[in-house]
Amino acid sequence: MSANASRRPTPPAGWAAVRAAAGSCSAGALRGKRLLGLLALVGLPIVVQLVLLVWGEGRGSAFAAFAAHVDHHYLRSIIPLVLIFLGTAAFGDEWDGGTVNYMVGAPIGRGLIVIGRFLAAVRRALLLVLPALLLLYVLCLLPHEGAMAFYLADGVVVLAVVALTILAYSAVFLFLGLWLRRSIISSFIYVLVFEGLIGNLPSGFASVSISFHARNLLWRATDEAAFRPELLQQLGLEPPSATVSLVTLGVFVALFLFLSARVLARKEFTGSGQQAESAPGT
Amino acid sequence: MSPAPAAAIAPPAARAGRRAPAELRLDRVSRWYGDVLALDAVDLVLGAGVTGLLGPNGAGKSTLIRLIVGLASPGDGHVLLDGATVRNNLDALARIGYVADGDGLYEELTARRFLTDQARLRGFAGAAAGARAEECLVRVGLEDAIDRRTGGFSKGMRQRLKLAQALLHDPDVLVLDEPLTGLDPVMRRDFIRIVRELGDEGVTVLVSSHVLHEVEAMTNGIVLLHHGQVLAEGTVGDIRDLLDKHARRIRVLTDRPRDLARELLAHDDLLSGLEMTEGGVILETLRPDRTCTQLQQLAARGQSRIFAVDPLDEDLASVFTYLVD
Repeated sequence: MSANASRRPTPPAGWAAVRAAAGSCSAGALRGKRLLGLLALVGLPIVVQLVLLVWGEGRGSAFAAFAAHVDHHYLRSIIPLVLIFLGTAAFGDEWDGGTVNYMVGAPIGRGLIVIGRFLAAVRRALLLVLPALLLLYVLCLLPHEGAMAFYLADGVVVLAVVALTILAYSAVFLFLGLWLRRSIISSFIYVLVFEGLIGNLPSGFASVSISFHARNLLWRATDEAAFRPELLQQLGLEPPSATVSLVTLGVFVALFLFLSARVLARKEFTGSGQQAESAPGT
Repeated sequence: MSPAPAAAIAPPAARAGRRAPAELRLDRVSRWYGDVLALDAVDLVLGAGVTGLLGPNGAGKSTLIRLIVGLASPGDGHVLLDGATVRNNLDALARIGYVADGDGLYEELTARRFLTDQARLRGFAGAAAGARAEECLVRVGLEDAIDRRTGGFSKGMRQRLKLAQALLHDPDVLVLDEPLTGLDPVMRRDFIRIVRELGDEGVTVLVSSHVLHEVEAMTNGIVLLHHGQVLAEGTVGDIRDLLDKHARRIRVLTDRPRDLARELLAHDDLLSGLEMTEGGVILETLRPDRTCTQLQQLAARGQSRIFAVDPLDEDLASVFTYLVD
């Protein structure tokens, strides 16, 4: 310990460090063209619902229409796509902007930095997605008298499942953004190939798919037909319990945050915002 | 020339500094990139005060700096701050400030917001973070740009802001990678003044640069790096002492250069080269003291009027060229 230490603040620890890490990241992740693109993506089902309202077509019950939007649009496509950008940006923007030195030079544990950046990505995703879902809920249920109050509890459950899904995808894409240089492309491949294709197959692969467990949770919690894993049932396979899905998504979050902290601690920064594979900067 | 032995570099001004000196020690540090050896068994000890890190492109300066600030780990050897490993050591990181050679800033943030966020990362809480940010911005002369977005900053302002960021936590060790690049003369002067002040305060400052005379303006203590090895270290004077085998160049302005040349060449043990120039001669000598004595004698005899005697290679560029050659 140096004699000068008394003039220096104690490095942040615990929650203070997490907050500092969350607050220090680039605000550019939610600005400009990227924000417009994400808003358009998140708002697309609202536009669809407005068109359906104008044309007077319904999709089953009021809540079933809302559930169908959540299942088909948000859980399968929109949330993964939004988190590709927000999750990978948690660290990827630092490489691109050459600002990574400020973060990794701070006297904060790598695990706390990862958690801070993770929570920042989750916060941004929730700020984008939850208002859209609330608006969609209103659009779907408002025309049906008393439906909004009647389905309020189910609506809260849906939002909770969406939030949990956002947590899981954030952890995965944050890890990919930290681990890989071309993380957005890799993340697209993950979403399209794994979540979109293999994850939808009634096989063992599906059990490690985020969207599969998210949709299973919706079905288990609301018993809505819109979420029913019919293909699985037709094949005589029993969907996992809500507890299994809940634990699996929790494991996704914990595992990928752990891996992210490990990667960050071992990462070599050998050039301006570059990773170890680059040539010497001198 | 083999690498110079490790020795602490502490200019006299630093020894009068106000804080306990931090010792940064590199112990047989090597670093490879694939098959390329970027640093080769570097031994170095840096104490309080300013030290210049000099070397051509590819010498390994930036690699060395990234190892010192913990951004990368040595393939072999140890980087120690007061005996403790730097890499992934939060106590060590809390004592190091770093100005990177890159231009990266959070472009959408104001200088105040950027530094306040950084202050929080360093442990300043609540209003103290903002106050410290403002204090550092004033110190580097950015008080008029506190609430401007950094995206609109000039190169010089960016360098100042990066220095302010590095000073937030009052570091014991400050590492500056090419900090003068892009600064206008006034900014350079101010930047150099701040660095010298920090050195005088007892901060262990390492400055890398290819602008040699500016390094010389900041410090007399230098480390020369070449092909990943420490070619020499010490004060400029120390390094000059290593150059006895090399001829030094002296420009003599005189009214009769040919006569002067003839007289000097008569003492052929003194000169290793001679070049006629307009209004004088440039001498290359292995024994500059005796050559100057000879010039005094010639002037005293009135055989030639000597207007000026200027050593041409006392700057760092010449020192480095000699050592590399």
